[in-house]
Amino acid sequence: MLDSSADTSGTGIGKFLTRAAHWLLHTQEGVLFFIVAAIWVFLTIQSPVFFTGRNIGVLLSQVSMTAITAVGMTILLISGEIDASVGSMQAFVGVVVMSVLNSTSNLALGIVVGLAIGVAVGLINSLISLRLGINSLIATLAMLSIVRGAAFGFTEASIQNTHKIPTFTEIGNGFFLGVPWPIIFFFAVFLIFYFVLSRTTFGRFVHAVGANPEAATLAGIPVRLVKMAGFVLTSVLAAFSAIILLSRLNSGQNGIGAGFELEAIGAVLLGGTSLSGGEGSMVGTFLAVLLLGTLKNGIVLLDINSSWQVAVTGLIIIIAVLLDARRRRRLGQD
Amino acid sequence: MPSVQKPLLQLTGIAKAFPGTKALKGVDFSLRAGEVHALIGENGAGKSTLIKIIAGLYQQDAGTIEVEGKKVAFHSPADSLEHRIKVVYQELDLVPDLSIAENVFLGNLPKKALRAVDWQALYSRTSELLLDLGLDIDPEVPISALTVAQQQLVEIARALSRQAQIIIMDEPTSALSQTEIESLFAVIRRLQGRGVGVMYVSHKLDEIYAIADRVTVFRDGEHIATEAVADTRHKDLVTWMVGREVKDLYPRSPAVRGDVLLEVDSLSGGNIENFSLNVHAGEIVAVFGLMGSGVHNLGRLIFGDMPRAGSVRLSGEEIQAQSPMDAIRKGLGFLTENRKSDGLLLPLSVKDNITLVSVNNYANLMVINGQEERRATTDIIKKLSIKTPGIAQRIRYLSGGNQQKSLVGRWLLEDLKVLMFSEPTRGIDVGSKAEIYRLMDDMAHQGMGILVLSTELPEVMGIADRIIIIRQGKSAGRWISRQEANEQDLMTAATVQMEKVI
Repeated sequence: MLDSSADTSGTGIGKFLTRAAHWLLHTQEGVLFFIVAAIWVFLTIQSPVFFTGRNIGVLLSQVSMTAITAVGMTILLISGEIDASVGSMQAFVGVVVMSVLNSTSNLALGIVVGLAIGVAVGLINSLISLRLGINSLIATLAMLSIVRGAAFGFTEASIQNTHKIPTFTEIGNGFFLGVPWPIIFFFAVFLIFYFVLSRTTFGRFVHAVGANPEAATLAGIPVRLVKMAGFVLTSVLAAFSAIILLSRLNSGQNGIGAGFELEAIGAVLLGGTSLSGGEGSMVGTFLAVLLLGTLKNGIVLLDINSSWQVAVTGLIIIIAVLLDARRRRRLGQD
Repeated sequence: MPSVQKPLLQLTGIAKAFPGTKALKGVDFSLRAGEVHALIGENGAGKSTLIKIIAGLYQQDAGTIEVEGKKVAFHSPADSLEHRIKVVYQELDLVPDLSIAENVFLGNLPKKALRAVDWQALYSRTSELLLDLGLDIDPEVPISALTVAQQQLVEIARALSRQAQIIIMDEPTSALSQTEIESLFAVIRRLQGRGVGVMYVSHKLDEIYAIADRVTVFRDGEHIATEAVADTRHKDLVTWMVGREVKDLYPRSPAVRGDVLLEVDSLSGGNIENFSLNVHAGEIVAVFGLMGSGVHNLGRLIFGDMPRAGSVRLSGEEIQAQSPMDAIRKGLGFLTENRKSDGLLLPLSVKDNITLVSVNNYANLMVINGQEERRATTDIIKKLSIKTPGIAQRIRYLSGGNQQKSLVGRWLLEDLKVLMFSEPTRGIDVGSKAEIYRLMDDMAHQGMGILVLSTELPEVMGIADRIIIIRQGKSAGRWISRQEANEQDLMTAATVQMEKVI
């Protein structure tokens, strides 16, 4: 992640410090890290509860759904596309999975159905965007309404848990070796896709099709297939988030997830992923999600009216755009 | 007038760095009133960075700018305009849908009471300015209706409307015809007569001799020389720019002609009709045509980037239509004429750009072996002497010549039979040109076939073993060998015959 302009003179610890200072001050990840660290110090001083295992667990669990979806969204944005339909997915997948569980009492089936909805919606999104050539922001905004409509069409009220499968409740609320399951899912998804994005040919192709689709085509890269994989991946991870959310709420609600898409996309942009495709950072997304969670957590701890939690998303997007402008200026891209 | 005149513009010790590169390492430049001072240098020499600093788009890291002896600091383009400096960019920044007059006075419209635009004054003043430049045209016409040459004059009119005393022209002739160039020079001389200082940035040396009084050469961000043009030999300029003598621009040496590799038969598509050609191992074959002849489409058709009829075979195997992937798999590579739009991944590193096609070769189950990939990249960078601070440098920051070499390197990592180059040296400097031609010659000697698609006659004659001409999408005549090629005949054959309409 280090820029090549970092001063590489000196040896050992001096070199390390120079590089660390450069990372902190001159990269988007570094700046984000700095901001998060500063707020953590502030909250630790302000509230005795903040820096406790319990609270950090709550904080991370709360953002795990956004984080898992944002991981897919990072890949999709780097490939030059976007998916705004992930918000409604939280509701639609929720109501369908809960009713499957209620009627079959089969957890595996429920999860498979949920993820299959992810695959299906991802395919539809890529079909509209790539085959019909409709800009993916418009296409998936339309899908945001359609999927929400499907959730309302599926049920007029929320669907309560009547199946009594204990493992299901564990997904969103249980612990493994003292760590909440949602956090384990979040970290696992992050690590897997960090690797996929930075170390595999698929990750390289994602960057290439986002940076210059024509050049990628002429290099023999199957541009549509790569983008389609991005759409499906994002949608499947959104469905996975929906299942965790469903477990935490213990009921399928057709109105849930409004604004979720803004939160996920905002985090990705704040993490330094470019809206124009071709560049982005999984670590940046991770730190941005952390910032989002910290702000929300801080609002609660400092006894600020919790309605402001919703406004945090807007704040995140503004910071994202400001940091992006700053970075562009520095790189001399005008 | 004082006897010792202060220069209009004096730049001293200007330095500017970008991540990973020092674009300017403390350069000087001065411009006197009534002078045309040319600034030349290869791509990456730092010319554009200097222009942007003078225009107020970038701020220098070190050094001073003086206008008429007074030290100034430019924080924005407005500051630069304030000091009556106007830059006419290669890519003109006019608003196409507005009228000529509105463009000339953009941001500076003549006003009446209540801040309403004084249209009458606007049009009459624009007409005056245009006539002054020898352009007799209605100022209400939208910019989009003008030729590039006319648009350029509008830019100059814009400069005059602001009483500019320093005009900077960045590669002004790149899109102009010969007659247009001459009328532009007439305008420059008229400006000169009025005491305007003109900084003329170019890498076309003939133009320097035609218009400039003094010439300054930059190389790799450093000031190499400033001389009166009259005292400078052409050869010296080239040596200063390149840093060494360019002895042989076209190093083509005869290679053993082997079996036929590429066979294109009755190819049609786009504006191409029924075009056939073949390329043998060890051979450099060129298709020459004028702009619009279809010479560029030919590459896309053969490579499968455009729908086609007819057959394309490589070593006897048919290449699927509309599948660059299949073409590459069978051993065909293609460098297009548009480096930026079809070749480069600007936000990505030099390494990622170079290994774009071959990355699968360093991967196991999709996981890239980073060490192998880095080694392959480093080899290519050494072999092609690509100038970059490191393999992680973003390709955006490399000069045009080094970008083009990286794209050639992309194909060298594949085991190709035939490589097609469309305009192999467009927009790159003399030194890089010679290196690209040498690479082509090497590849031919190693038994590859090279197909060059070009609109540049000297290039085609200098590098190809066989030449065929394309005119209006059709093959014009027979193959011409290197020995029998002459400029006159090729040009005549490529030029469309105007038929008389009865």
